[in-house]
Amino acid sequence: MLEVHELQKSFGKRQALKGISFSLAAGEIYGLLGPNGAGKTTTLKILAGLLAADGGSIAIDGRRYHREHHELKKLIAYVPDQPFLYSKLSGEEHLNFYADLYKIPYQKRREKIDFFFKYFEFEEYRRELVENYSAGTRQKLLISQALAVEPRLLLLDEPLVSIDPLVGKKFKVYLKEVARQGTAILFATHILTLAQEICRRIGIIVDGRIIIQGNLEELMTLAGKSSLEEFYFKTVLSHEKPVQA
Amino acid sequence: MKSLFKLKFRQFRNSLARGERKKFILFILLGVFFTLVLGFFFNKIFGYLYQLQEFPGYFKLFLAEKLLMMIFMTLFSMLLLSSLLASLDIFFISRDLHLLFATPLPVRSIFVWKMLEVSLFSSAMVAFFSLPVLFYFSHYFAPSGTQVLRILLAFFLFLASGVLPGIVLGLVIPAFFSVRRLQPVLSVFSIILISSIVVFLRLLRPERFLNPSEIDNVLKYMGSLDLKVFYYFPFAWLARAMSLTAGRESAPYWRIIAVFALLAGALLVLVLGLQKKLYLQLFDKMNKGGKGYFKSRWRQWRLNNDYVPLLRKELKTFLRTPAQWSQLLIVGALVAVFVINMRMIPMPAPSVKNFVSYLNLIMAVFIVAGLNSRFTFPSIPGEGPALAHVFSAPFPKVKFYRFKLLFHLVPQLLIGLALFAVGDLTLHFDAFTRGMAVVFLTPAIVFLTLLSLVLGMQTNESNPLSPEHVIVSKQGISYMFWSMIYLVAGLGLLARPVGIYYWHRYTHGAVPYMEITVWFLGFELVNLALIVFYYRRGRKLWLAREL
Repeated sequence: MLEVHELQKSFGKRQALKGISFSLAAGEIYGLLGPNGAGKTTTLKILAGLLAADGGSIAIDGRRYHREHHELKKLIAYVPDQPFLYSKLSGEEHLNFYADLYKIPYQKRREKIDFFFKYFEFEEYRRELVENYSAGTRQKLLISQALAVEPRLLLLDEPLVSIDPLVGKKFKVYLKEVARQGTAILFATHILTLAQEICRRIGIIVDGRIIIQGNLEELMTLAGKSSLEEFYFKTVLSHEKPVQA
Repeated sequence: MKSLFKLKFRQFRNSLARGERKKFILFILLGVFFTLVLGFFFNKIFGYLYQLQEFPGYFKLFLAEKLLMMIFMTLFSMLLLSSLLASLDIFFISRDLHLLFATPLPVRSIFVWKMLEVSLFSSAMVAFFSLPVLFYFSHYFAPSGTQVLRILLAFFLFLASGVLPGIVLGLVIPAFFSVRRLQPVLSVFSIILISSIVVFLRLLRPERFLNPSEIDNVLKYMGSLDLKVFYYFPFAWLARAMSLTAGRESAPYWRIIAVFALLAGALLVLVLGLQKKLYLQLFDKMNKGGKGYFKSRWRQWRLNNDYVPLLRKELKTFLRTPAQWSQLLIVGALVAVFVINMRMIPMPAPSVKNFVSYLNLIMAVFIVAGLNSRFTFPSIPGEGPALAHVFSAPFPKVKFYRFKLLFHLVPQLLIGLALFAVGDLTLHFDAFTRGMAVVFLTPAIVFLTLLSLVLGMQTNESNPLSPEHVIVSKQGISYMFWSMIYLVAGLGLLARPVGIYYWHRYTHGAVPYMEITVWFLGFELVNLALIVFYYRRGRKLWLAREL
């Protein structure tokens, strides 16, 4: 589904990505883990089209992203790390606006929008202006917005920040369901328990490079660790040679 | 009530004891200083009117009354606005309210006490500013003790007639708007008041006071100063009551006092009624935070075009941001003043009309340049990181750029041309002037809109900023500078063909149309080059933009 090869990006003199490569199959959930400033958000922003890569290549379903990005973006939805929304639109209008940009037929989106307002338990805010939302409700709206366009590649940057545990649990259940239906999910997070719970594969990114990636269970068995937390600390603190599992 | 009075007195005494005495004295000294300055000013004005030998007494009083009306009109607006703001603060936000409601004091007593506080705080400044006016008017026109008392009675009722409607509004507005929308609602209200003052003052045409010696027919002059619309407002009643007191006309004075008292009484009954029906519910709502009553209309408005979602978003955002659209009210008031001025400009010779048409063009472009700095320039920085939704969606970036340009260009082009058309309808310009307007206005407005959009997108702010913040950025100042340079250069370039045309018309010579056409074409070509350059530059910057 997604092939990323030697992706590079610099901001002035600082090299944020130093050649990142990974792949993601349809229906797979891939967790991008790493400390602050490692390059997780930059990677997602490049895939979402918010930043332009300086080097490397991206292919989706075998099609070159930089050549056909307008067409390929129809397959992608992105949840940014900060819940910035158009504050003068209501929640329902925001979802409609985003769906309009994706040209989702009205009836189809209607059902989805109704479903997400109920599923994520914020129906009472449906017609309230976004400026009156709490951080958690904004996050719910962002997640609903991305899911409502039924993407084939879902990019999530710290999706569970500010979300209460109950809705967070529902979200995880729903993510597994959409993955089962064939959507590839790439998400960046600091919450290691979340990654351990839902990811089949992970990649740990440090200083602009993926230092280790592979099947989560295999990686932990190889390293002799029982929890992702132990494995993560050990890996990040002693990253010298890239390992491929 | 007595205990509430004691409470306030002790609070005041303690605040002085806590070291706020210096602040209090400074405040008093500043007030005295302003009163003295105003006193000096009004002493001169009323003294001048009083000593005019060539006018009969009634005419002097008439002029003084009109002057008073203008002063009290401004003070009345201040009174209304400050009373509204004080009501919202004192009735709903005041920190001691929770404590007072917990005591066995009746709600009515607390409310009446708070109403007195509102009246005192909102009318203190107006009373302070009015003192020199009242003093010097009485000094010259109504010096006896009875006359002074009558003036003070009318003034007191004037204060009541200004404060009580403010309190009514302060009690009614929270019933219709959510707590979070109060601030924009108040800004709209204040802008409406300011706009009304601008238009009202212009209607009074104060410049006529400067030249009373040119009056050939006193009655006609007096008639032209008399505007019937003002008869319905308390500021006109007070001015009239003062004038009648000075003229020792008792019966009409008491009639005005009766009207004043009736209005104040009716408003008082209304306020107490609102207190009984609404106050506690609204207090609860204001302190717990209320939901808006907004209803979505998205379903009713579906069109199949790439630009429609953006247009819908822009319009909704604009209409739901009173700080933005209310600016148009001020522009509307200025345009109204502009139209009034146009109708009143004396035209001693046709050549003056041509000059006015040229000034009209300057005015129209100047207004559009101002609109661009307020609306177009901040439009992209105002999007902030929410642009990520558009950038990550399968929506061509370049279309967003084009949309932003068209969204601001089309209405401004219409406004610019409409401003010229207003002048044309009033003064009936000739065909040449109309042609010149199209030749000048169209490219000028396109260029200014483009310039503001392109410079605006270079502000590179990471957070959505208010237009006021954005326009004082380096690029904002740069826009103001370059737009003014452009205006001066453009008008300078056009001055030549305009001058050639009107000179030949004036001297009855053959107009060299070929030369004029060459100048106009040159102007258009320069503008076209600028427009193409800036459009391409803007598109390049936009496509390279990262979030």
